[in-house]
Amino acid sequence: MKTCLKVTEGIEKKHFDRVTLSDRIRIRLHLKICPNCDQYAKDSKSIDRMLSTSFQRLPKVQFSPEEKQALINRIAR
Amino acid sequence: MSKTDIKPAEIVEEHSDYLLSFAMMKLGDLNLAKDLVQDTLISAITKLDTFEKRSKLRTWLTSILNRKIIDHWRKAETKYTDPVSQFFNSDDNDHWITENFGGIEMETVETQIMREERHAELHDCINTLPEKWKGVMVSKYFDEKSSDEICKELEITPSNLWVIVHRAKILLRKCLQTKK
Repeated sequence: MKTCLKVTEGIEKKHFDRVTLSDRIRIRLHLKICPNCDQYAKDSKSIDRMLSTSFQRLPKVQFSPEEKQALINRIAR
Repeated sequence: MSKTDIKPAEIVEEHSDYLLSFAMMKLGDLNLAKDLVQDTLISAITKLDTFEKRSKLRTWLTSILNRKIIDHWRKAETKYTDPVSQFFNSDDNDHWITENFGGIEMETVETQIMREERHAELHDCINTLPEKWKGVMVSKYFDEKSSDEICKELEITPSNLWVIVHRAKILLRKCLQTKK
């Protein structure tokens, strides 16, 4: 069945592009009868929120003192 | 500001670690991040005369780095590596939606992420995505860029964009579910 693929793609398309009214209704009706796609819709929202949160924090990584010296030498040339 | 006002040592001491963290967050690959920061500093020094006082030095350096990161993503082949193509190109088109990975609900993962317990896992999962997809996700969720901007920068079509987001989310879900 290709419907689930179309429906779950449609869920993402809505964020970016215009989706026709009939497609929106089709998606909504399908979600009522398909637990897998309904789960996808919920998971998709969870992933949205997780990504927005997790990208707010910069990882703690540093150049070593030797790497910094090498960098200074390279760019001072 | 003239070129002589800015010393290479000062730039490196004051900004290199910040730039490295920034690049690392977007790229998830420490060696690549280091290379691009080095390239950024080299090209910044050679075009210091175009630096306008109005913008802060760090902002200016970050924008040069950002362009290099976008270039990297754009040039990255959208390689459908084996696990990815097997995942999506099997006979059963829907198995990846219906498949129960025996896993944990995304809502539970979300709660853990919000409690700051599983950030590392999420980042590991993001890093399993093909480079261009990673670029799409970072541009959308971190830079909060518009669809038009993302398509233009990464040279993809609008329909590519949401298909990539769809597939990336399915891979992220699978990765997070199997990573408990």
